[in-house]
Amino acid sequence: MLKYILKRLGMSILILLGVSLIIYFLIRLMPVDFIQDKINAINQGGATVSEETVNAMYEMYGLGDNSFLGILKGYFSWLGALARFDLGTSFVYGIPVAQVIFEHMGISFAIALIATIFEFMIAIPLGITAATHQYSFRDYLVTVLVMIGISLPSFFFGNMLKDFFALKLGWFPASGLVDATASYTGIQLLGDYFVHMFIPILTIVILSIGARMRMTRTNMLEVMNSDYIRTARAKGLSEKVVINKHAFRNTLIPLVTSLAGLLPSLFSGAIITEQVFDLPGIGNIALDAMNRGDIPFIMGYNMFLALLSVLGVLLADLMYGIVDPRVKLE
Amino acid sequence: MNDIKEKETNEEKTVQEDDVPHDKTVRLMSPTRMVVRRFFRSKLSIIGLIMVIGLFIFSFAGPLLYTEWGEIELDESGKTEYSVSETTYTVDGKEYTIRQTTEKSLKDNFLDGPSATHILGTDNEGYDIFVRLMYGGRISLTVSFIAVFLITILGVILGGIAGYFGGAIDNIIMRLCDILICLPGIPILLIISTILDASEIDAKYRIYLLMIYLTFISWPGTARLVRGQILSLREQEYMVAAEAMGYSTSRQIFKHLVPNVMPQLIVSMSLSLGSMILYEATLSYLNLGVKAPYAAWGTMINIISTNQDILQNHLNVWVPAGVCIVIAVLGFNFIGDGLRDALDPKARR
Amino acid sequence: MAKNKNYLSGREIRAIAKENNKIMKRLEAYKNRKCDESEYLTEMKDNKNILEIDSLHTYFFTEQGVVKAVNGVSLNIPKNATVGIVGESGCGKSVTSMSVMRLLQGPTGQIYSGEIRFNAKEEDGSEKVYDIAKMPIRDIHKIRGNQIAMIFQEPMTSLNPVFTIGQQLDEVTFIHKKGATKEDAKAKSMEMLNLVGIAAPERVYAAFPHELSGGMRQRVMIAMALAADPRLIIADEPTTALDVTIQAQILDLLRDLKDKIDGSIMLITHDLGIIAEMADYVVVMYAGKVIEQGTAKEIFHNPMHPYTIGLQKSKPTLKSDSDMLFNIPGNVPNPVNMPSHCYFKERCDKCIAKCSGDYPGMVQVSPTHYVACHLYSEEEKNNG
Repeated sequence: MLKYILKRLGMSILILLGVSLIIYFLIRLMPVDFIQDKINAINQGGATVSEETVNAMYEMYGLGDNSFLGILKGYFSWLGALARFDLGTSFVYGIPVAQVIFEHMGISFAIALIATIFEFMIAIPLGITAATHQYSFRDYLVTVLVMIGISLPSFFFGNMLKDFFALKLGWFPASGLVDATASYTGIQLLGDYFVHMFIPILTIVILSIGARMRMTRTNMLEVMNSDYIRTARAKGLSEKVVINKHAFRNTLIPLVTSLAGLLPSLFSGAIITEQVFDLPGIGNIALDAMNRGDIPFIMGYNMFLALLSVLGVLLADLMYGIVDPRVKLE
Repeated sequence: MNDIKEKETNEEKTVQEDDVPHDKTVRLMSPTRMVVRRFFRSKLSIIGLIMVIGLFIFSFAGPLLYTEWGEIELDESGKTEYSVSETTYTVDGKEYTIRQTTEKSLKDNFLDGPSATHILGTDNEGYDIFVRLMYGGRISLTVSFIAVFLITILGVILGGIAGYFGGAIDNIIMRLCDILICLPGIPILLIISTILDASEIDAKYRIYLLMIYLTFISWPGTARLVRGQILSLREQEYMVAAEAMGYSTSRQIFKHLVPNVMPQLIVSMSLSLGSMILYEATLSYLNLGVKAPYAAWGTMINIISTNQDILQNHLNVWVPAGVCIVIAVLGFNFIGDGLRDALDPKARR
Repeated sequence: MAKNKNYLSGREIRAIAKENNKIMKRLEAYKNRKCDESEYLTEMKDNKNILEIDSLHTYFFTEQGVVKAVNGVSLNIPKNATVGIVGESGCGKSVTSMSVMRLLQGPTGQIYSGEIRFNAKEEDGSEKVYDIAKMPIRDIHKIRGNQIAMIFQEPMTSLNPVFTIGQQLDEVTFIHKKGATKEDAKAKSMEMLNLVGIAAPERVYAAFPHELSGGMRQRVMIAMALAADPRLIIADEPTTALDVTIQAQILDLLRDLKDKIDGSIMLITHDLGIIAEMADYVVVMYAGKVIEQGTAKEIFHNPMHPYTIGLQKSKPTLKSDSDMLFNIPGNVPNPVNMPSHCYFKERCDKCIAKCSGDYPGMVQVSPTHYVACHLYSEEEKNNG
């Protein structure tokens, strides 16, 4: 087991190196004067990028030498800095990139976590009813509704909800995380957070239920056709127990495994949703950073995402070994 | 039990071909017909097919039939707008009202409501929305079909090589897959878009370049599918039997691979058509894909991220484009789902 | 689409589907109805029997037409007896047992008509007769598991992989013994594991199914079937998936158990050897119908139906001089389009003119021996 984990970790590091190499090369493909332009624009816009920061970046990224070897050399110096846990300093914020990521991760995480909990709570029962009533009207209704959910573009649906609930009905604030005109504290502040996050979470839940429900339904159908379900019925168990205990416990295996795969989406922020509702989550910050050419942050953010997805895959495999007694990791 | 029955029916078929008299009355369903029938039995697949075909006709035949307005043709029939403001003063208990009329001449007829001239009205620039929907559909459908086509080719070739040769080649290709799967999608697209911005590529072509990138990161799924299929084929007993009888394995693999992998490939293709349309629309919405003045469904919605007035009061500007996206994606998803059920040999009904 | 005279046309397929849907809907509704117990209470024809199947028709409504898997089967299972049902693959013997357990995969598989009378023993010792075919599926728990238990063909996949053997065994006690505590259940499970001859019951009790061999799993399945003291055990090819030495062990076990338990066994197999060893009565099935039935002695020493005779001949023996195995030529007719004459006619070497006529009725040749063949009908005997 330990050997397996170590082997997988080693593999993950290799994958991460590959990912970082690709991202680094892409960033280096941006023309240098373009970057200089961006830096000038930031300087004019009020925030200042100090001469030292820019120099530090030049050194870290080895900009200027755009030959292949030069880029490669730059990559290794970036790696060197990374080994010292140094992701560089953000141009826009003037503080270390790691700190920017850390500061804005919380809000994205809160939204994603709440949305995921609701997603599972709604999608799993829906998937089970659809599977146990296969080809019935109920099955079709649930399937059509969640398929529409899958097919909605987040920017379109988010804006529709925003237009309807926030602007037309005025039930919820349209954007932001806190009411700028009021200074709430304690429980009031928490309530304020809640009303601001309600529509974004609703958007994410509706868009993501579909995939989870379909997954539950497919697995459930497969399990329901298996021999051991027949055995359970033959024992004299009621259909309710057959479904909720014997079938569900087996359906749970892929569902729990998929939970680990959600790791990246929990921390990476929903870029589009955060943009639509103007939430200061990490996704929105990243979008802003790309538009403003905040190179150190872009590099750091992308590596953060890649790290999360590598960890997600690894965790999913480990979970599989824990949940399914048949699987032995080797 | 099912297997046994299937085997029996197969035997019967061979018997029939030899024209054994007593079984002449027995007729079966042809495999093609069985798939077609399973597909059309689901009302959802029919609805999906209608949606997609409808959109195709709308996008590709529409501009040929409805030629009143072009994609980037402005309606310059701007009218003169009069606005009246009233101010009431109370002086010594008497009310005086001052009416002020302002005259404003506009060249372009923008944000016009739906009318006979503009079926869905005009947008904030004065373009006809209905016509732009058609041109947007052309972009979305073309781009997603090209991308899915390329993904499939690349995936089949690389997955085939990996599965067929195995060993170090397999290892390299599969690790490459791992790496590409871990690349964050939209953020990288943003970086590439920035690069394209700087290199001043024609607005018309940048979406194609972005889709090529999407192809580049999306092939691992297909490759894994094909590779897995080849590996499992190698394990099959009939392959071992074929080898024992002296047939070359490679020919056998390719002979059995096509019918084995085709159904899954077709399903994954139709499902990824939907996701490619979503990708394209998202890019255009972020103003990274098709840029104004050219039309794409995503671009047509982009305006509401900066203009709250349109978001609230001019639904005809952005809602139709969103509806088109939903119809396209939903249509492809319905078709993919129907195909999956129709091609699944384990299907019970 | 290729025009092939062997394929159904689109119109025919639609007609089949329409007809099937109508019938399936009606039967599904009947299966799911709510009704009073009195509606399916009935009387046994003969009180010595525990199960009486009367002209049972079980159909599968497929896209290619109605498969009459069980087409008018009648058979009796006496109390404390082992009845072997024998026939080749696809003759409807498994479907018969599934009909008794009401485990048919809906909505395609349905009991179309017929009666399955079962003599159930209530907890207070009184007896009640149910017509299983008429029972709504929601009341089926009255007989499943506690009155009739089943052992399946596939021990490898018939146990739930995510629960331990103990959990799955205890469950049976929990369902059928009201107010059973955890200790009661475990005690019963251990007793059962001992009964089926498992050497280390404690270890097996805590194990997951994948940790056990096929033979062990089948023993567990048998223990599970016995745990609720059923009156009837249906063993559906219990040894087919096992290798020969394990087969012998499992059969020995079943034979021992027959004496230990107070109940009947319905043993389904295609292996005549097993039947000869185990059964008191034998029912031979062919293409969804019973063609011959009688005591084991009668069937083995005096087989009458040409098919039974063929079956016996095709059994490999060491004594036989020929190095070729006997086989019955030809194939079973397609289950979708059964002929109106005897189903065995085309493969039969003793055909007479009458065989092209109606399907032969059951002829009684001894108090216990019946055969469905024109060769033995009254007129033929008179002629002969």
